[in-house]
Amino acid sequence: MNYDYDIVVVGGGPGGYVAAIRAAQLGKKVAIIEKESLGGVCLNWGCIPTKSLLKNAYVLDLVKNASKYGIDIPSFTVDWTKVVKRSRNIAKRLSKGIEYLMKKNKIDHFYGIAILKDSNSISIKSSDDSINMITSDYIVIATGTKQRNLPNLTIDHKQIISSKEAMVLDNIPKRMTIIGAGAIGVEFAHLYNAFGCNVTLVEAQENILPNEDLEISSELQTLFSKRKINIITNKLVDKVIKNKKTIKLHLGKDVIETDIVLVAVGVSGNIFDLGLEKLNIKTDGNFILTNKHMQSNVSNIYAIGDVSGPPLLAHVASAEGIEAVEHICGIKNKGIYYDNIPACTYCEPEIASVGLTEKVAKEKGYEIKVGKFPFRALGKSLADGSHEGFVKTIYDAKYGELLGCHIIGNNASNLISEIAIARTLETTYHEILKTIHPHPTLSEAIQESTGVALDEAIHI
Amino acid sequence: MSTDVIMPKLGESITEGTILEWKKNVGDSISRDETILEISTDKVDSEVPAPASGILLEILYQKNDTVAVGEVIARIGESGKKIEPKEIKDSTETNIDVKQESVEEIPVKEEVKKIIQKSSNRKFYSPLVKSIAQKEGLELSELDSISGSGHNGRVNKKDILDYIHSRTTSSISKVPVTADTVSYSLEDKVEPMGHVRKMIAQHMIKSRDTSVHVYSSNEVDMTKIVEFRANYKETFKTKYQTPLTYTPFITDATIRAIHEFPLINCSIQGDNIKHNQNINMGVAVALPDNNLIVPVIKRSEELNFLGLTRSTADLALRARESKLQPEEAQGSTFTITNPGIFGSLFGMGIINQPNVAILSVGSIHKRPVVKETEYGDVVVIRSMMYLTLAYDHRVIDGAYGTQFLAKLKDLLENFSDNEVKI
Repeated sequence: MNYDYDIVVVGGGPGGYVAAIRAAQLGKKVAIIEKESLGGVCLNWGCIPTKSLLKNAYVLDLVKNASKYGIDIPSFTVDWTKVVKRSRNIAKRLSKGIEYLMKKNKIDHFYGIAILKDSNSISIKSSDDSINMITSDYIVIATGTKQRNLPNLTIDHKQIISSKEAMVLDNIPKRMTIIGAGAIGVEFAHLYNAFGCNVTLVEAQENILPNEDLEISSELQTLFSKRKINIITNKLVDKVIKNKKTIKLHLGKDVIETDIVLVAVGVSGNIFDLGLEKLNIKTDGNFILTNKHMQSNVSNIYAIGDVSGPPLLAHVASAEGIEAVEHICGIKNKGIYYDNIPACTYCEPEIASVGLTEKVAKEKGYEIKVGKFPFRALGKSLADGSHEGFVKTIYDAKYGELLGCHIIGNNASNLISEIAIARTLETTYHEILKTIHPHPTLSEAIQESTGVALDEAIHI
Repeated sequence: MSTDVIMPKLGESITEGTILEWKKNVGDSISRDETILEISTDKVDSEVPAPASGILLEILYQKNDTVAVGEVIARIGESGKKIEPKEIKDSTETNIDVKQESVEEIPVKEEVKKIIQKSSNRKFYSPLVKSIAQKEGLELSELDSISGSGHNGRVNKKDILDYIHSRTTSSISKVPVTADTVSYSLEDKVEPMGHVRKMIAQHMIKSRDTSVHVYSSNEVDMTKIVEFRANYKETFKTKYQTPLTYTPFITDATIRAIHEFPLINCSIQGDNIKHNQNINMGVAVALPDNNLIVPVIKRSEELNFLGLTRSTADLALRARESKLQPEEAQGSTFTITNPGIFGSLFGMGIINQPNVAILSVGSIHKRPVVKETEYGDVVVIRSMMYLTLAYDHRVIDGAYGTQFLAKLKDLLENFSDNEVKI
């Protein structure tokens, strides 16, 4: 049987477009179908445009505090429109870049909505309602996720918004309440606080960033509170009263009056209206079930990225895309290894972690050695003018294995890769301690925290 | 206390030796019998083993120096202990000695280093794997024997933990398995392969997938050797306290034949042919638990007949008693296997990687053979034996393989009493 394509990828996000490029590299005839813009949420409405906005917040902070560095800036104004425009331009530019990569790799791309007609045929409905049918030997589903709604907080895109609207607000609201203190909630809390908005951050669990190590969450909570971000944890929104210009939220006995509510309570996989049910593709909740090579129960259909379930991270999606395509092409890999995935949150200071938290390590029965080293003891941090936070490293006491590392501090996201690679190479504390780290750098804190774990730290 | 390393006497007439290479540097930790330097005399090159374990404190002669036999050439000190002041006085390198002391302060690493230095094939082990190996008391040979699931076969944490787990479970099940092999009974059951069995299986598959096996066979008239052995075996046993078997005769002849056909003794490394200076003779030994091991007579070409006999007997005995040092079953360049022991006429061997040939020795049987004499053809009763050579067609072609075999036949049939001093 001859098909139009060897592999068709449904969805052009960081999972899908990477899968398509890898497939083309391996000599396959490839098509990609995207309903909006290539690059997906990550590039258009997630990772990248938010990083752009956060950079503006950083610059604003620097200008406000310029006198600390001996530079007086008597007056300045914030042009919010330009702030948003910069972010959108960057997203657009990157999306164009992906289009170029598709062309370069001779990947056909279709704009439209894909529906699987059978395990080898896909219909594509374009914006002008015309329908294209294409066939393919293999199909990779990379449709991502969409914002989850809370039953009493339905997104109306005006007063109750999702992260997408939060990236393009017309102006900075006076008061914003953010429901959900995961990475997205925390990043927006920092952003709008930096731009002078009165922010309240609500989390149903006991701590903000509930998946991070407890000490990291507490440190951020302390730092946020100092900046007057109002934090409410362990509370659910019971009642919502919408007025014309304001909203009242009831959380048990507390009542918050706010101008705008940002809902950031997680996402669910885009598995509906894809034709999956007819093909009996197995799902769990709102995610497609796969094996470790990202293959669904229908052997020529793969699912990668957010739609195949957590961890919902762009870098995981890309790795899964490559795994799926290599598996299709007969390259024998061991499958994705989910125990060593770094995760970053780009608030100020940044948070980055990889491996086990102290709590999980103990639950798994490890006897551990923990080291914690504050950035305020490092020359580089003081010179940088940002010395909040610390590095925490967790080691197995028996064999010395580096079990996990948790960083809160300036540039944490750039520091964590050292730990990820060290863990891939199965490092013990000895190698981290004895590897000479350059001075003056922030990375010295990793070495020193290992020293603390072994009672050999120098600068504390 | 420190121990002196002296220039050894390598032969009757030898009075001095030249240092070829120091394998260890000052400050390195050394275990007893580990090679610390290579020396050369006018007859042979040799490795000098350490007389004691410890730290190499001093090197008194450098590369290319010629030193009289019996002269002190280096000193080894006990680890963690200071060199005696008296000795420091003699040395101008006091500062270096002090440095060595600080090197010594991480004892954990020293032991791991020892494990790694011993490694013959220099596999990479991650720090964590080394740490686990050390804490769980794994021998290097065990570590080397674990098949790795990581990139390029690297042994990772999961592999070593799985191995330790299976080692614990298999030692529990060991007794019934052995009992089974003794009182053999038919029954339906599935049991996991033992570790050694698994290794053998992997090696066999690897060899089949690596070498292009081709076979040649020759029949050898062993009558002279059979008669010689019959005449001298009692004397030999009494004199040397070791039985006179056929194996050293065949090994000895094989070594001589290899000298004329050295390619038989090579190995293949990628697209290169690695020629080996020494003939490290592997001799397959069947073990009581139905497994197989191939101990290696290192530098077998340097041994005389008695030396070959003793080495073979010693290695075979210790192999059966599982008392071999790991390196004693590594590094072969050629292998002999002897299915004839169990009465087989001939065997068709699987090459022992990374060798390129294996010689299978058949049983010796009396058979009627036609001999050409000056009075015409006669039928005589002779002790005949089949030799089968399996060789790797990637590097050895039929002409070369069969010529080697013909040479071997020639050497065995024309065996001369003078070759063996009894």
